[in-house]
Amino acid sequence: MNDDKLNKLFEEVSVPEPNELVRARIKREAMAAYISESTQGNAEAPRLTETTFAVNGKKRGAAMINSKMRTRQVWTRRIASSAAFVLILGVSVKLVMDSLDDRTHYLSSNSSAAKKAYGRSKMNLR
Amino acid sequence: MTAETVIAAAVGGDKKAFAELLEGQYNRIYRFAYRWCGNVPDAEDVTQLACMKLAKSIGQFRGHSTFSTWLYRLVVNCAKDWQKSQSRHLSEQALTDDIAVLHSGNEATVLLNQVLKQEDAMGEGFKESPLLVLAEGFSHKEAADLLGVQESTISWRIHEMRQRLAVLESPPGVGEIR
Repeated sequence: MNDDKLNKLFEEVSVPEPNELVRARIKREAMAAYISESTQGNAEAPRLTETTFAVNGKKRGAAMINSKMRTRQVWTRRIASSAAFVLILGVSVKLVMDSLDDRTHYLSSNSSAAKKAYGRSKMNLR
Repeated sequence: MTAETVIAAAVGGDKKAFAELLEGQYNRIYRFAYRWCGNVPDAEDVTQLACMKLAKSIGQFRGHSTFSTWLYRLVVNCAKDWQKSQSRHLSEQALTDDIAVLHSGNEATVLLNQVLKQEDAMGEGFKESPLLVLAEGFSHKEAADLLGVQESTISWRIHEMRQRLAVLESPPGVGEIR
């Protein structure tokens, strides 16, 4: 059997026209389900897009946040956390450097005192 | 409004857009359901299931695939669910359906129903593959993406259908179904 014959078989099978009354009923029920689903505001509810803003002209519920706003919030949070991290790192480095300076100063002052003491003891020996 | 705008608005919760979308897709859903079931009352049941499912889950459409692919996946799943729920009654109704099909007087319908019935008996996925490719015009690759199988699997299933059709068309005793 070739492809043409198989395709022709599908073409020959006529699909009857849908019943208009049934079509209207199904559409009505589907619309009711759609409205109920979008007003529930659960996790499965449709999310508001920019297009919907243009069409509806209003925002409906906290769950329907514009995706652009969400992206902006995420980036603001990231930048703020990065700035905080850099600030904490800078302060920590400064504290470490200060403590190292103090230590160096202490050691150097100690070593000069030791030298003086050593010189004094030598003099005494002579 | 363009088709994309209507879909985006319906995803976003616009009632008018959803009504327009449903109006545009109803015939497509019904046509597939009819070819799947082979009779009008069952096709209407599957269409109703699919439309309700569409209403409830359109908000989850993220545009990862085309809307058409997404919709067909939804309709195929609804048809399968319906078939599972009806499996107990199918054997009782099979004879009645066959008689109804014979009374329709369309030889092609009778033949196609016989082939699809045999395809369906072969296992999951055998019935929807030829329906998507041969009746709805999807390419093998598109049908494979839609059903989540390899492209070669679709080709093989179509080949199997050709074999069965050839056997059904040949005189008794000439061919034998593998």
